[in-house]
Amino acid sequence: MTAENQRKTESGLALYHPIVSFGYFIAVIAGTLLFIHPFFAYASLCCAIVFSALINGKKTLLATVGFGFPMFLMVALANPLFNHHGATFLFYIEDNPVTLESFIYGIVSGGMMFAAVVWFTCYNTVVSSDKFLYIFGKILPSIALIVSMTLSLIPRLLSQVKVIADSQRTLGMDWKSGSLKQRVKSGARILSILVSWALEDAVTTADSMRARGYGQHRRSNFSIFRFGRRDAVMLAAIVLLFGAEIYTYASGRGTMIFYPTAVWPEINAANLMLYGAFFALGILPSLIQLKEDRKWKQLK
Amino acid sequence: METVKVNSFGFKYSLGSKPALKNINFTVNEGEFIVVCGPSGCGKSTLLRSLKPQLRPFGTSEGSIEFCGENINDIPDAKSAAEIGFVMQSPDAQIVTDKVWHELAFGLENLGVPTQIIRSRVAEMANYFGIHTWFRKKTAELSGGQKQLLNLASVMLMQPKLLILDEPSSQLDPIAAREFLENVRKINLELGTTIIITEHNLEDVYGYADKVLLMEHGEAIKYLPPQEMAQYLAEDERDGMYKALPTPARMYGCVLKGECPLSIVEGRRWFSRQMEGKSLPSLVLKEEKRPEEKAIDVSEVWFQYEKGAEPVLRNISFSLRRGEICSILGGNGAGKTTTLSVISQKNKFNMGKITVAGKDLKKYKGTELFEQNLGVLPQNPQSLFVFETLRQDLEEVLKIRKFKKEEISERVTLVSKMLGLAELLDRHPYDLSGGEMQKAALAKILLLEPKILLLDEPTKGMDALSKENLGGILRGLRDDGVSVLMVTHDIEFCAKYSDHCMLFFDGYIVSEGSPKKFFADNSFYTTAASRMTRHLVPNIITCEEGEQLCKSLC
Repeated sequence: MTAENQRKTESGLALYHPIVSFGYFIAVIAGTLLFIHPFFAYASLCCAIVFSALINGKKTLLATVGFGFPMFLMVALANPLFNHHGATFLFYIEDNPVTLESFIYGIVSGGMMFAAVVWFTCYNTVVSSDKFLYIFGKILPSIALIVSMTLSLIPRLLSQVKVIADSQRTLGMDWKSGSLKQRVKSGARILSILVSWALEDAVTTADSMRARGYGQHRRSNFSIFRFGRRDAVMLAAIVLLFGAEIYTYASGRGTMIFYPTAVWPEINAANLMLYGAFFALGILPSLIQLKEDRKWKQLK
Repeated sequence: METVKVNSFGFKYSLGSKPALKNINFTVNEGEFIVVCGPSGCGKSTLLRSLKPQLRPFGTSEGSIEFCGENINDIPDAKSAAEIGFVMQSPDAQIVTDKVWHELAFGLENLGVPTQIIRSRVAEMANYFGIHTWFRKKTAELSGGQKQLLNLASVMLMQPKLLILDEPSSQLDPIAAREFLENVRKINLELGTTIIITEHNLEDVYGYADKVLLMEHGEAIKYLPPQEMAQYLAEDERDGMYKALPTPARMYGCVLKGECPLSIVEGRRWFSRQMEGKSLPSLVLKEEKRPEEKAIDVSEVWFQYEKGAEPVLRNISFSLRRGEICSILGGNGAGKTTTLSVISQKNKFNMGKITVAGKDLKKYKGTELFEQNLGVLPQNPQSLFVFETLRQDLEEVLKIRKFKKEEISERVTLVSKMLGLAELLDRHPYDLSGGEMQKAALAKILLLEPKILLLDEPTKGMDALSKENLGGILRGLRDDGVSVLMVTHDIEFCAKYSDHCMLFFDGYIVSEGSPKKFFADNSFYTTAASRMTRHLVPNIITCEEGEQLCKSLC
């Protein structure tokens, strides 16, 4: 893999405490999905693409756009075909009117969904499974343990399947060759051995858990993540900007009226400030990433 | 102070007909290192599990066990969970969670210890065992040795006063096993933790012991310091246990003069003293001839796991001759197991040519290669068994080959007699001990009537007697014309039973020869007997040769 295509899982936003990075995505994705409004949708989309370009690399971004753009087109075009509200008629398809308003609505909501998709790819890079597990474990500790146990079990089972398949092949039971009946039989054989092996292991695992005091006491939940001052500062900023978002939503300034005729939002000081706040939230991780990248360049 | 005091303890499994343990008495003082030994099925594991309340087997017991002056039944659960640590055999199955750091913290989490304290204790322990370099790794990515070390460290994090280990190194290769046992010794010496351990292979651990507990048929027969135990075993001619002793102790055991040496250094000194003033024989090396016919011929083979990855096999050439036992030795990652996997079509090689029984390997289709031609004994014999009983499992091999009923039972009887499995035929394959399971797996493969056998680490988890047994079987097969190629870390076994040895390093073979020549030429990578005697008599390779020499001269 070239450096250009490498995902940056250990820099910028990802280096903050999981609560901060997780909280960030909640705020930004909630904002994206709450507001059906051209500014919010496209500001969010731009910020998401910039951030994705910075942390996911060209290849992943192109793949995301390759998926997101057709989806955007579909939403933007499907809405006017199926939704006939609105006062400005453009033309008729068969007996159905196509309106300008529903067209605008499609473009806005398509952009919004596109943005959400890109944000999710960023989420995937920044919030790795163990971070998610940590946050999850705070809420539901026992389920978090089960997930962690499952994650350790899966690779073990996979490697055992391979070992079993290889040794069964030397006994003449090959699931890759022979007639279909033989192959199914060999496959079933592998599965049967895997199950007895796994059950045997499960007894040991249970012993190992009991021997280390499992189930005797209320468990505590250890993690390797530490909450520092920069986490607090970042979290405060996110909470503040999220507050602005809530206010935007509550005051109705985040929603645009489309039907019967589109009412473009007014451009006034209050609105501009709220737009600014949302844009700040969206662009924040990219700025952090850029600052860090520049520092590394200077150090070189 | 006494850490453990066992008073006329007896135990009977709720489903068993005979008691598993009878009238056992012994005390373990604080900071002692105790080795429990005995043939398989003697009740070692039952005894060890009885010492850990959370793992106590179901059944009726008599007598009592005291831990630090308290009856073990009266100790609160949380206390006994932390203060009595227990490490089991399987490196994989003992691991509970997916990350190294989480596994370390698991025990303390169970006790409800707050994060801050866990953090500092985890850091301490990770440093102590050198785990900090792979602290954030996934547990699935670790090697066997690392996994077992992680299991040990996770138990040590709970700061136990007593550490019990039930054959902890039997699934590791000898180098990882030695490293692991050195860590156990370090814990004993540096932290003063009391240790009770059982091992199949006493070569390493015996010398660490303060006392050795010998068990047989559920009874504790002797409880002595290791030197005296060696003397007792030598005089009493308990063959199985005596053969398990480390080489220096065995050489001493056959003459019983001077003080019993346990380590190689002590052994060398002892040997010099015994040989003083004696005229030493000069053993001349005979040039041994290998058979001409090639069973497997590997010629200039290269192998990489992925395009662009570092080659695992670099231009390797060798041959296995018809009717010989040939061993491949070498460290981890040298390409030994990979070589076997390439020959058994598990992996496809990139360049070069391999011929098996005179036919190009690439021309074998489907499972043709394994039909009365190549037999493969995998590292995990468990992966071969399917049925409830060993008999069914063996019969099934022949059913696939479409034999008649009478012939099936005849052949199964024959092979089980040959391998000494006759009494185990109705047992569940998973209930067999390590050595027995290995033999059962071999039986299954022999039913395919292979002309060439590939063995991967065949002595793993075997005690001395099973090894001798296996060696005899391999020789018998060889005399019947079967060619054997084995990959092993077990230098002693290789020296004793192979006809030809090869040393793998960095993806190819750096040296080869008959075991005599091979080991006499090596100065580090050689047997304990050779290291102990080479300063006086250069060509002694196996412990038996050493014993013979001692007997004839002393």
